[in-house]
Parts: sequence; C-alpha cells; structure tokens
Amino acid sequence: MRTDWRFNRQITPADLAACLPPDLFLEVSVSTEQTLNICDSFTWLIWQAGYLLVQIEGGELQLWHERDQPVARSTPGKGVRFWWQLPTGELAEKLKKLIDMRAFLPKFGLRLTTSLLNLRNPDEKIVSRIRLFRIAPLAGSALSLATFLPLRGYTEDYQGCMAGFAALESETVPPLTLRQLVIEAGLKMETPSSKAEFQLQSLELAEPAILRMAQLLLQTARQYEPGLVADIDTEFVHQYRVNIRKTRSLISLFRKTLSPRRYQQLKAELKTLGSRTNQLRDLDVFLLEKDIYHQMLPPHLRPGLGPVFCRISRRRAAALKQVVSALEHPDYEAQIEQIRLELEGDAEFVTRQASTPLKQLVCHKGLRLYRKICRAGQAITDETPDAEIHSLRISAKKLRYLLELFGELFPKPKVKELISHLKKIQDNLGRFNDYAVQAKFLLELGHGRVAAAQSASLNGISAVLYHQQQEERDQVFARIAAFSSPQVSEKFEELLTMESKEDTEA
Amino acid sequence: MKILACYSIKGGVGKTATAVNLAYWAARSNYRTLLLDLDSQGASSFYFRIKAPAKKNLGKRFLQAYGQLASQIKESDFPHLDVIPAHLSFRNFDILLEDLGKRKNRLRQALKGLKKEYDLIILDCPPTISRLAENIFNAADIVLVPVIPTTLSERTFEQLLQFFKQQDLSRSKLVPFFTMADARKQLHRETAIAMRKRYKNFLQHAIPQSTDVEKMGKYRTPIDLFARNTQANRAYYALWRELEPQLKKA
Repeated sequence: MRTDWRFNRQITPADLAACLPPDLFLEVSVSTEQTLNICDSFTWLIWQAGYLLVQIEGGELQLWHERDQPVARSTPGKGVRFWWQLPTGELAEKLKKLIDMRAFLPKFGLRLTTSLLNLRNPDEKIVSRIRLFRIAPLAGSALSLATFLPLRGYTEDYQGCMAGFAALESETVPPLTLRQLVIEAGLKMETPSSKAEFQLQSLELAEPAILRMAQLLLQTARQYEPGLVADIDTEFVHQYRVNIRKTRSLISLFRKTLSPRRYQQLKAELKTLGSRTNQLRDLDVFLLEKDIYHQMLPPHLRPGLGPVFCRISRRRAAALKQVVSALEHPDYEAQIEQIRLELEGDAEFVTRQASTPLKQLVCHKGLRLYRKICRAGQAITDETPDAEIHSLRISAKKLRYLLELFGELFPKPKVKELISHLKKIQDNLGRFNDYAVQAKFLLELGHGRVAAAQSASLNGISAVLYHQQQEERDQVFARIAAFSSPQVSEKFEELLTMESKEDTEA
Repeated sequence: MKILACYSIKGGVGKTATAVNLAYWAARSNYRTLLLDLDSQGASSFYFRIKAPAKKNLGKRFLQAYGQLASQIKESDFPHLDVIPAHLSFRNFDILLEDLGKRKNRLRQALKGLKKEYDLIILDCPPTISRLAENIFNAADIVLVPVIPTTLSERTFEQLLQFFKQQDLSRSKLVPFFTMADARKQLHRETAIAMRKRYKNFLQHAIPQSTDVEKMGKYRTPIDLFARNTQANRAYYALWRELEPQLKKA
C-alpha cells in the first residue's frame, strides 16, 4: 500500500538516504521545479466539477482530472481567458462544458519541486519508489511531502525503508494528487454563495425575515461588482442583476409586510440599481448569441452581420463604460448605503402581515400566484395582446423566485419538482419575450442611414424572429394547459395548503 | 490475455534476449505484461535484476495453485512489466508434470488465473522437447521460434514441426524468425532465402548478430536502455511491431 506523508520540516533526498537500511541505496532519477498557477472561474466551477486547470510556467494550460492525469492541454496566447480564445481542440471543448461563457483566471500560485527517487538493492534492482515534493506557495513558507510507492514482490524491503523513515517526524495525508498538493499548499476556496442561505424558520415573523433576506441578497449581488468592473466575463453582470432582481421581487411580493414609506423607498432605490445594467445585459445577450443569428440567415444575407455585430460591440463597450463609471462614482456607494440602512433598520410591525408567521405567508402568496397564473393563462386566446402574455411571464418569474427564495422551508424534492414544472412554462414565455425584445432592438438598429447589406441581414433576422415568436405563442396554450392540469395543480396545492395548515396549528 | 512463448529446441539462439526485449516493448506499448521465466537457469530474471525466491519445491506448488503463482510476481523497474523469476526447482518440471497426471494443459490452467491482471504473458522456455514443452505449446497462442539461418538450425526447426504434427498440435501457432543473422555470410543468406520460400509464416524482421545483444548481460537491462540507436534495438522494436497484430488475431 502506498503511503503519503507531510513532514514537519523540510526534507531533502539526503535526509531520506540517511534513514535507509544499509543494503539499500537511493538515487534521484528526475527532479523538476515548476511554477503552477491554478486557474478557475470566479465561483471555482472547474474545481467543483472535480477538475483542476493549471498553467505551467505561465505557458501551457493543462486540465487535470481525478485520476491525477492531464486530460487535455493547450498553449494559449497572452491574456486568453475564455474557452473560445483557445486553439480548437480537446481543452477548449472541455472548458466549454465546464465554464461556458465564464472566464478562467489565475486564482492560486505555487512553486512545486518534484523529485522522483528510486531505492535500489545491491543488485541495483528498484525495490521502492518515492515522490518527494517541495511546495513553496507564492505566499507562505515551504513544506515537504512525499509519496512512498512499494513495488510488487518487494514488500519486505518497503517495510524496512518505512521503518527507517519513521524517524523523520511526519503526518499521514490523503493520497498526494496534484489537487491534494494544491490543498496542502494552502488553497482556500472562497466561493461566493451563488444561492444565499437564509436560515429561515417557519414560525418567525415575516417583516424581519424579509429584511434579512434582502440584505443577504444585496450582499451577494455586490460580490459580483469587482468582476463586473474588471469585465472578466458576462456572468458577473448577469449574476449581479439576478440577485438585485430577486431582491426587488422579494420586496414587491411582500410589500405588505413593510411600512408604506419603507416599501416606496426600497422600491425606488432598487429600481434604479437594477435598470442601470439593463442595456449592458441586453447587448451581452446579443453578442453571446452571435452564432445563432449567423445560422438563422441564408448565406446571401450574412455579409451584413459582421458590421452589425461591430456596432453592437461598440455599443456594449460604451454601455460598460457607463456602468463602470456609475459603479465607481461616490453616488453609487451612497445609494447602496441608503438601501443598506433601510434594510438594517428595525422591523416596524405597522402592518398585519409584518407579524404573520413567515411560512404561512409564503404559502398564501405562493398559492395566490399559482392560481393567478392559471387563471390568466386559461383566459389567453388568439386575440390576447402580447402585453398580457408578458405580464403572465412576470407572474411566473415571481413564483419561481418565491419557490427558490423560500425553498428551505419546504421538502427539497417537492420544491424541485414544482420548479421543473414552472421552468417549462417559463422557458416558453421567456423565449416569446426575448424574440420580441430582440426584434425591437434590431428594428432600432436598422433606423437611419444603414448600409444595404446590414439592412438585409437585420430584416432577415427580424423575419425569422417574428416567425419564431409566433411559434412560441402557439405553444403557450399547451404549456398553460399542462401547468394548470389537475396533476400539477394538486402538487402546488399540496405543498402550499397542507403545509400552511400544519404550521398554523403548530 | 494472450500467451506468447519464446521457444527453441536448441540453446544459445537468443531466446532469452528476445523474451526480455519483446516484454519491454510490449510494456512500453501499454500492454500489461508478465514475463514468466521457465528456464531454471534464470537468465531473463537476471536481465531484470530479479532474484529467485529461496523457497523449496516452488515448481510443484506453482503448477498446483494460481495463488502460488501470483505470490511470486515481482514488479520490474519498468511500468506495466512484471516478472516471475526462475527457480532452480523448475528443472524438475517434467517429473512434476508426470506426477500430476498426464494433463497437457496444466500450465494453461495455472496461467488462466492471471487473466484479469495481464494483457500479455511471455514465456521464456527452456530448450527441451518434453512434457513441459507440450504444456507450453498448449498454453501459448503463439510459439515464437528464433532460428539461426544455418543448416543445423533448419534441421531443428523441422524436428519441431514434426513434433507438432505427431502431437496433432496446430502448426499455425509456430511463428519463426531469423536471429543472429549475419548478412556477410553467404550460408546465412542462402539458408534464409530457402527457408522463407519453404515456410511462409516467417516474420519479415530479423535480429542481426550483434555485440549489443551480448552486452545485455553486462548492463542487465533491455537493449533500449544502453544502446538505443543501434541496429539490434531497432530490430527488436520492429519485431514487436510486426508481432503485435498477429497476437491480436491469435
């Protein structure tokens, strides 16, 4: 069996040689010293999927898997941080699956010296192998670790060696894979909580709970600010917005737990906070879907697309600049401070709902929203204006947020199932809305003096989008029918009614 | 799992050098390889610096139980390559096999137990034609026969063919190749041409007469480690490459 040790002091091959039984000798077969930079997305998605992305000596990027082998490699150019900037190949494909549109950045550095040692008997036959590691974190002190590997059929020699090495003070550690070595080097993952844990209690009073949740959501949103300002990848602005939108949705759903003054104040402040990044995100979505637009068009309408996307990129750069300067302006900090003070203020308990037990209120609101969606959905006919379908989408989104935000109050699998039903209808309504928004934006891009080729591309896309939007609209009926079917309805009622009864009694 | 036997009735024809170098190249090609040194002289164990165990009567236990066989496995200095070293008691294999009854597939049975651990077992065989040889021929998927292109060697190869015929063994298992060949000697050239004409399954690649092969005894490693860019080393590698697809088919 292999043995892995961390020594209590720095150990050299000579230290090991000094502990050997007299008939064995030690030989250093290879020794390498490398600076390794562990790269990952902001939220450590690569690491969390069991992989390790490491850049060696600032050059080659290697993706390692649990078997402690590189599974893909590539040498990127300078400043590369997205999969699509890598040379086409295995690594690009793997990173696409792991982090998609997120950037990978150097997160942790160390200097690793690996010495491969052979222990030989008087016949000069290898009887055991040692991998001796010296880790020097870029910050911190160096340490020595080793893996001792027996050779089959030489157990006695191995045991003899290990008895000798026991004189060196050490601790047993998990098998020293590259991942484990990085942990030994002192890597601490600081994952921003993408889904905040609120520690909710069924019977706690609503107003303080809502205020606490909003504080946490705002804090989570703020974690993405540095990445947004540095424009690391589009996920930062997206996650920033998602968390602000959730805060807004929470405040709006539970407005009756707050005093009217506080509600109005928060509503207004959060609205400006959220809308500031609207344009940037819209442009991001366009740029991310560039390939899809390309495929939408027949080849003869494609030449105009390049210049169109150039224009969008320029606008995006301008939008980013605006957002960044707004975020870096002292007014922004003041505004956040304003919201923070409002949220951290004591509960006022001026409304009846303010002191209602939390879960009871959540069930009540959830059920009402569900019924509202079903009612509005069933009323949809071919003549229903688009605006009404959009408002149905907003209601569905609110219900989704409600289930996600308060999920911890309910049995996990049940909530998950309901969210999956909700997701089907949301996807449909979401696409319906996206196509409309995109068509409107393209229309605006086509205004004024635009080259004929661009105009042709824009019109082509508009036609396809219009068609797709109609298709989505046709599907709304079926989705609504499924969503308000007795089977699904029963599940919503079960989760939100029965539970609420129980808790009131309790 | 495939079994390859390096066999010749004649001694001193380069059987062991072939077994050692082929085992090395097979392991380098990621075949999990076991070299079983059946020759009590233990030359191939010596080349890998592996000593024979001190136990008595190993040969008998060896053929009786797979567990005994597995416990003798020694890891070589090379990845994917293990060795079962020879033991002096192996010289009594014939008597043992006689004692154990007349089963011709005793060896095959014993090796079967290693199926999960190895892709290839190479047998380095002693130069005898006996009950052990019968067991080897039954166990092996390919019997690789080194032949020096001389009249005498041609005669022993014919004897081997005759033996296969008598015992009703499949002669297609026999794969001969030329070894210690010296292109400067007319006799070697003529014999090689004549034999290739008569026996169709001779391997294309031949091992030349070379001092590098002899030096294996001095360095105690496969040739690749001390004489990489020599003709002999390239010849063994080419031999392995030629043999590999035949092994897959066998």
